Amino acid sequence: MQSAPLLLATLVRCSNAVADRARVAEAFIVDPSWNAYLPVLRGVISAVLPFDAPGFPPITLDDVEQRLLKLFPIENDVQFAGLQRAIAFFDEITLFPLMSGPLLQEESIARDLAARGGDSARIGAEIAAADAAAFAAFAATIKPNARFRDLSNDARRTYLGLWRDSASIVKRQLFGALRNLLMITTWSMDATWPSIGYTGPLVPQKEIEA
Amino acid sequence: MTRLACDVLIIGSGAAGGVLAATLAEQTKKKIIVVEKGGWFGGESFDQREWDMRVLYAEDGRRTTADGAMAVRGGECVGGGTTVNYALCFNPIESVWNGWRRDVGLTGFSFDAHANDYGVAGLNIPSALHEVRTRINVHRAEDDEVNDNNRALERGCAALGIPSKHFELNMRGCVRSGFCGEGCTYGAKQGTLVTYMEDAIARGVQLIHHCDVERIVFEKKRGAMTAVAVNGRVRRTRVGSHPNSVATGRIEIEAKLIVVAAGAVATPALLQRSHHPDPHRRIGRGLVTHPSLPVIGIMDHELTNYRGIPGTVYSDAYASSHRIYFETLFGQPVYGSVVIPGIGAEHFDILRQLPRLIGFGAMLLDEVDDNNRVEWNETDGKPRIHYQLSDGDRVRLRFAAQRAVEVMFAAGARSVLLPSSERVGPLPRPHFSTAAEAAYCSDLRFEPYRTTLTSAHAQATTKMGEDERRTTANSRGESRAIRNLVICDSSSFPTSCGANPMLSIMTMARYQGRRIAAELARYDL
Repeated sequence: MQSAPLLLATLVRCSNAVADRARVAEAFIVDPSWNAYLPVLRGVISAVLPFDAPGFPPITLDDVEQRLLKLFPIENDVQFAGLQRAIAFFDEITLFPLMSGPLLQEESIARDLAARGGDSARIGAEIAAADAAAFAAFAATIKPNARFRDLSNDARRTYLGLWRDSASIVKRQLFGALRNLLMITTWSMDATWPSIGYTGPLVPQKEIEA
Repeated sequence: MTRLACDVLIIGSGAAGGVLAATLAEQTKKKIIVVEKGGWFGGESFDQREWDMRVLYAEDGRRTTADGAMAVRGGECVGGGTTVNYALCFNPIESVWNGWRRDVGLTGFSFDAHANDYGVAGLNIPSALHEVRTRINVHRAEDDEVNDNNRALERGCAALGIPSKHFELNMRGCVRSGFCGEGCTYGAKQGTLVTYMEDAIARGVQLIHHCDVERIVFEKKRGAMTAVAVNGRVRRTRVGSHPNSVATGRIEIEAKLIVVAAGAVATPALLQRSHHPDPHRRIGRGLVTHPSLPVIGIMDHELTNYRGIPGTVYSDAYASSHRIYFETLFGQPVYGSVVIPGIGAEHFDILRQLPRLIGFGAMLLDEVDDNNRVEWNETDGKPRIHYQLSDGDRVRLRFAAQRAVEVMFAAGARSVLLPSSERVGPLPRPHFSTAAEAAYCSDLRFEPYRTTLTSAHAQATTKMGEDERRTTANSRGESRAIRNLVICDSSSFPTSCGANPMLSIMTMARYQGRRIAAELARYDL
């Protein structure tokens, strides 16, 4: 989870490598602004947290979004510099099967190939093939050139599932990191505890500085 | 710039550093300073909120392996791991230490209660252990201290004919709130925070917390490279911490003897960035973590799980045959929400059943593999932890998973799940509805970011022994390359110490503290 910003920054570099994609360039290079990533982040939140499920805590998407940005200051903290733009990258769903350049380097580090051996080019090709097949099946179910933000929550969850089940450790990490950030954000709110039968701490909250 | 000088500087205040500081303060008149990276938070600050209490953990509780997949939890506060652990005590295991004598030529550490190691009267493991057990009040959990969740493991094991036991715990006056991992609000857990560090401070030891040690300074003295000082920086004291004993800013501390007790991740990283000689490339290598697989059962009825003493029941029935322990484990909601797999309604449907969940962990005593290692990373100034399961460990963990799932069903679980998105047999996920399906665990691969493993027992990264090609320190813990530098913490163990390590570390530290006190001249003291 700690390396999520680094990883996401890598994904951005990857997307930058796809030169002919004007929309990508606009999203990640020209305008890495609040508006570029916020709708995507909101899409991820609404896919991960079932706000309309029976018994779900009385919290809103806005509550979670605000707390997430408070706990993990994506816009203000240099360690999250890559995260803001990389969440925007998530919008470009057709980039999912990409497995080359900096992303492959990151995969090699995750697999510790330098110390343990292994053919990074071959591994990259295998990952790309597996992920392309998984993506093709998904792509057949959505509108061409759809963005993540435009998908239904069901389709978003299916797309997130591609990341969770990717052959690439680095892509699985992206899913896992985003998911865990949201879980920590949500279930550390005391307003969520009654709905899961948790009666909570026995002492008042203290002022503790991290 | 703060400049201080002392006789003995101890880096770390946890299971090792705390005991060393108190022991040396008790048995010598030397001036002792303890430096601690984390803050000095006491029970009055422990507010039982997981998010707030991340301040007690290394990297805010988000320290992981380099691939991000496995948490490598460690205390980073006064008391170190003993402040945030579950107070589970295992005596040092003689067969393991004897193995170290065979494998790396370890000497000393006699298990004979009449031995006088190094010619020091009464210096041996049983006496050091006895002293530690007494100070931290180690005792067996009583039957009426076993909560429903622990009872489930006991019941499940019994139904399958697997022996189980009650843990020994270092507690005094436990109120059974269920909060151990968030630090004990009530001061009942007898970690070094409320025992040995208190003793040390009462005897005049100076504690400097919020202190980043950047490097140990080595100088040639009388023909030998010698540790003479540390350089570092004292960070601003955070709200909630006790005040510090020095001002914020740069610090240099000269010392005649420097003892590194920063734990199995920070110790090798510190030696690496201090350019400690490493001719055989040993420092940081051969890391052991005790990876644990959480297993979750869903019962038909509500029970007590997150309240009561979290861990009172375990089974070591497969410890010698498969290097596996089953240890009861239950967390608070944030931990639960992360361990429960999935997203959306699928995830919430399990989490909302929190009062009906039972949980324990299958903990593996993993093998030493030199590729599993800690490397200090110059770019971000953090230790990088490279870790992968060996093939043999994967096989053992599959066995453990299957057995654990069977135990869960035998305990009365209506369904059982593992924190995993791996396909097993005909099941899209390891989420089982019958005990017979446990056999599908043979398909588990424990791949990073498919199956969640956790760890909290990093060890064996600057090993001690007499085989100089395989160890960094000798059996006294003395660096082989640098005079007046002793390494004494979980990194000293040549392999896994064979169980939850706290009491082994504390016993070793008590032993080494007594030895140093009797051998002061060795260190120009």
